[in-house]
Amino acid sequence: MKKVMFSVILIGTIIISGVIGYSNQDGLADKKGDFGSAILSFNILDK
Amino acid sequence: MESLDIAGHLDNWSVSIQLDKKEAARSIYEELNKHTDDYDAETLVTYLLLESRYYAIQRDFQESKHSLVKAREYDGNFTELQKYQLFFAEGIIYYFEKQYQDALVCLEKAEKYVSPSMEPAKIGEFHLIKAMVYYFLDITTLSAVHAARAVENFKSLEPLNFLLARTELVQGMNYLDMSDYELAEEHLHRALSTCKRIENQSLLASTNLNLGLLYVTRGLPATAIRYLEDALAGKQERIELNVLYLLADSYWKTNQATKAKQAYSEGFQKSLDNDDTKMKWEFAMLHKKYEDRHNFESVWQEGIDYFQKVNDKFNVRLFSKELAQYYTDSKQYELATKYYLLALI
Repeated sequence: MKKVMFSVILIGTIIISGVIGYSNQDGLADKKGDFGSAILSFNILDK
Repeated sequence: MESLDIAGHLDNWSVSIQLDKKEAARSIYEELNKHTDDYDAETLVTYLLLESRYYAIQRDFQESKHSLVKAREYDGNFTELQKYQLFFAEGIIYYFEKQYQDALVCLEKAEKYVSPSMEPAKIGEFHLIKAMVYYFLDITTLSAVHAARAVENFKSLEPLNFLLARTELVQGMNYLDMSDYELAEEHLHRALSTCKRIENQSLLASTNLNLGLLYVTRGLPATAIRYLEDALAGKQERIELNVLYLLADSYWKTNQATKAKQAYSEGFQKSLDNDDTKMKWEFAMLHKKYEDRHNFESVWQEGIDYFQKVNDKFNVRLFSKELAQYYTDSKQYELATKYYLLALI
């Protein structure tokens, strides 16, 4: 179940990884969206 | 090789890697690799971090990780920037291996070394990658926060069109997850325009896939087909199975059974060829939903069992919810309850 975080205060670095076990134990969410294949975005500046 | 030559070669190598010039990068790598015994610790760390990027642009993630492991042997000599580069590189590798939780752990470590003195483009890229990781971890709100921070860093830099388009994609998909379809559409179409303008075929195909997903989710399969067909024409192997799955679904929903079966057969066969069991189940379940109804219940139950076994909770939730609705409609309330409970995990 998607967890809604009602308030997030971003001061410095908040460690979220330790509290997201609910999401998927393997860290694998099979969403069908995609953000491209570029490994390093700077590789393709101005292309 | 004189130390000045080494420094010069490392600079040229770095530029070749950043510009994705694989042949030039390979030639410099072969030269540099012969002299690693002569490097001092600082030079060796720079070399190994670049070597990791060199392998990453060739999608050889095992070797890329191996370079980082070797670099770690000298972590006492790391500068703050090198510590950032190490953790950021590890995060990116885990992202492309779809190990999103591990990616997040690395990015959190890298974030300790993000400094205001870094170039805005680099800070923006860090937040963009973190937003992408949060998206796949289904933590929409934090993905949105980091995408907004990425935009802040990119918006004043005219040449960063690709990065801005990629960020628009993340923002669009976050709005889709929040069911705000108008804003999702606005961001995804803006990304589509940018991709066409900068002629980036890979990102263009991804954008068409995401638009297809938006219109499938909105219940507009006829509109989705137009974008999914464009995505398929982009011939991006990485997303091909996802595109074929959504296309088959959309063709069936618009009563184009012949085209649907063609897309399904191609996707199912490719998932077998690629030994992609997860996608094989997804295609099989899709087929039973539309074509082979008397096996619908048994195949969907088996499929959900498989997703549970491999701990793919996203698919357990997705398919259980639909199966539960089916049992509710057919007044099989005990089974409906079982699958509604699974949909809540």
